[in-house]
Amino acid sequence: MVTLPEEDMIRAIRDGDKVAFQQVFYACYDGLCQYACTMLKDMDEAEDVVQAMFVKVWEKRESLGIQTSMRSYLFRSVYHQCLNQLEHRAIKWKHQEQGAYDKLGEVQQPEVFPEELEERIKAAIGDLPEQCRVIFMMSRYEEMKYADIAARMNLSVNTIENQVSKALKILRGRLKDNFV
Amino acid sequence: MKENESAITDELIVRYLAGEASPEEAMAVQDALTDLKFQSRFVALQSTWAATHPGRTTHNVYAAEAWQAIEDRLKRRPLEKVKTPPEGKPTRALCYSQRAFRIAASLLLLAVAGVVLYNILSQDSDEAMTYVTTQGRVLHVDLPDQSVATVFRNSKLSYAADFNSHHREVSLLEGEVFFNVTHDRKHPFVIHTAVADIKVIGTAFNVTLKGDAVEVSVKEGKVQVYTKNDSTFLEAGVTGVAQKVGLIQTQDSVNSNAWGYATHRFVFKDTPLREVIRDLEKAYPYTIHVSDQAINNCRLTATFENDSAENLLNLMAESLNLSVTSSGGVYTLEGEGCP
Repeated sequence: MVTLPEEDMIRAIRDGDKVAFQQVFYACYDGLCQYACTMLKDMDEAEDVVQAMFVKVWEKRESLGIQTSMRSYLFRSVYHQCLNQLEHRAIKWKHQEQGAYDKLGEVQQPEVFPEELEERIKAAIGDLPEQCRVIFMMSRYEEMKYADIAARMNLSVNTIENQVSKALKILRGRLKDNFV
Repeated sequence: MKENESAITDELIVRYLAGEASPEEAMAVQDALTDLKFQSRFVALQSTWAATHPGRTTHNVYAAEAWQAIEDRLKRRPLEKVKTPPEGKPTRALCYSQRAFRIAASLLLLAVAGVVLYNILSQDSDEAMTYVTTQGRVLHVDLPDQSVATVFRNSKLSYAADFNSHHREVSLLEGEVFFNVTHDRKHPFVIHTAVADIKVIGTAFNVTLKGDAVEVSVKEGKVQVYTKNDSTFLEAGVTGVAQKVGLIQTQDSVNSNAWGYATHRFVFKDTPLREVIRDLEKAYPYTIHVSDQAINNCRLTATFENDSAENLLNLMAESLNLSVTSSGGVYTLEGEGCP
C-alpha cells in the first residue's frame, strides 16, 4: 500500500513523461473546464483557459512547485487564471463603458433580464422578496462577485450567499414542474 | 475518508454555480457528484440556475479532442538530471520504469489522493552503494526485493548496489524511515545504524535515529533489535529504544500517527488538538497555527485515510466548529475553541 501514485506521477511529469501528463489531462480536463465555466460563464473561454494552463504547466514542469496533489495544483492554477481573466474583462468593460462604473455606488435596482428569458421565469423572479431578488439579479445577470455585491449593498458576503441560495431554492420550488 | 455528500450544503452548491467556489470547494462538489443522492440535489439547483439565464448556455467538453488541440504546443525536450555525487565519485541516476509511471498515472485517475512532496531530492549511486538523501520531502523507495522504504524528510539511507532478494541489507545514516518489508523467512532484512542493528523477516515498522539513540516502533509483525550489549524482540504495538550503552528499553505502545508520513492514515481518539497538529505537521509540509490557544484544548476523535491536508483540516474544523484559512503553506484554525 505504500506506493504513492501522486509522487511518481509528478516525478514522471517533471522528467518529461508525456504519457503521464496526458493521463492527468484526461482525468482532470472535464472537471477543470466545468469549474472554470462557473467562474467565466462561458465554456469556450473556460476551455481556452484550461488548455493554456496545461501548456504552461508542461513548459515549466521541471520546476513545478506542487505541495498538494496534482489535481489541487491544477484547480488552483485554473482558479487564478480565471480571476485574471475576470479582472481583464472588468478593465475592458471599464474602457468600453466609461462612466457606467461611476454610478455603481447608487445603483440598487438591476433591471435587465436577458431577452430570451421566458415570462414564467421572469414572473417567478419578480415574485422573490425584494432584497433577495435584487441580489440574485446582480449575481446572475450582472455577473458580479459576491464580494462586490456585498460592497455595493453594504451587506456581508455571508448575507449575499444566503440570499442567492435562498432565491435559487424558491425558484426551484416555483419552476420544478416546468423542467427536470 | 470519502467526501460526505451531506457535508455539502445547498449554499455551497449555489456558490459553486455562481462561480464563487474556491478550488477546494469545487473539487469537493465534483467529487460528491458520484453520489446519486447528491447528484439529484445538485442537478435540481443547476437546472434552475441554467433556466434563469438561457443566454449562458454551456456545452460538453471532450478531453480527447482538447488533447489533440494542445499536443502540438507541448514540445518535448530531454531533461538533464540534476545529480549530487556523494564524495565526488562517478554517479548514475536510478531509473524508474515507464510502466510504473503509467500504472501510477492510471491510479491517479481512480483516486487523487492528497500526497505531499516538497523541495528537492537527490538519489545517487556509485559503483558499490546507492544513497537516498531527502531534504524537504518524503520519498518512497521501492527496493529490488519489493520492500518499500518511505524515507522521511532530512534523512539518509544507503544500500549496496547488489542489494537483491537474497541479500537484503540497508543502512540508516540519518533521520527516519518507515519500512514495509516483504516477507522472506530465508533471507532476513537487516537495517544497520550506528547504534543498533535491526533484523526482520517481513513486517512494517518505523525507525528513527535520534542522536545516540535509535527508536523502533512496530506496526505489524516482529522485529529484532540488537546492540553490542543487548538484543530484544519487539512485536506489533511495541516501541523499543536502543542506545550505544545500556539495555534496550521497551514500552507497550506506539504512536501510529508518527508514521502517518508513510501511510497517510491517522487515528485520533479524544486526542488533544495540540498533538493532532503535531502529528499532521510531521506528515504534511504545512505549518498549522491556531488563532486562539483555547483551540488547543479541543479534542478530536476521527480516522483519516489518504486525505489531503486541506481536506483533513476542513473536516477536522467542521467537527470542532472551527474555520480554516490558508496562505503560503500555513493553515490557521480559527474559532472559539474549547474550555
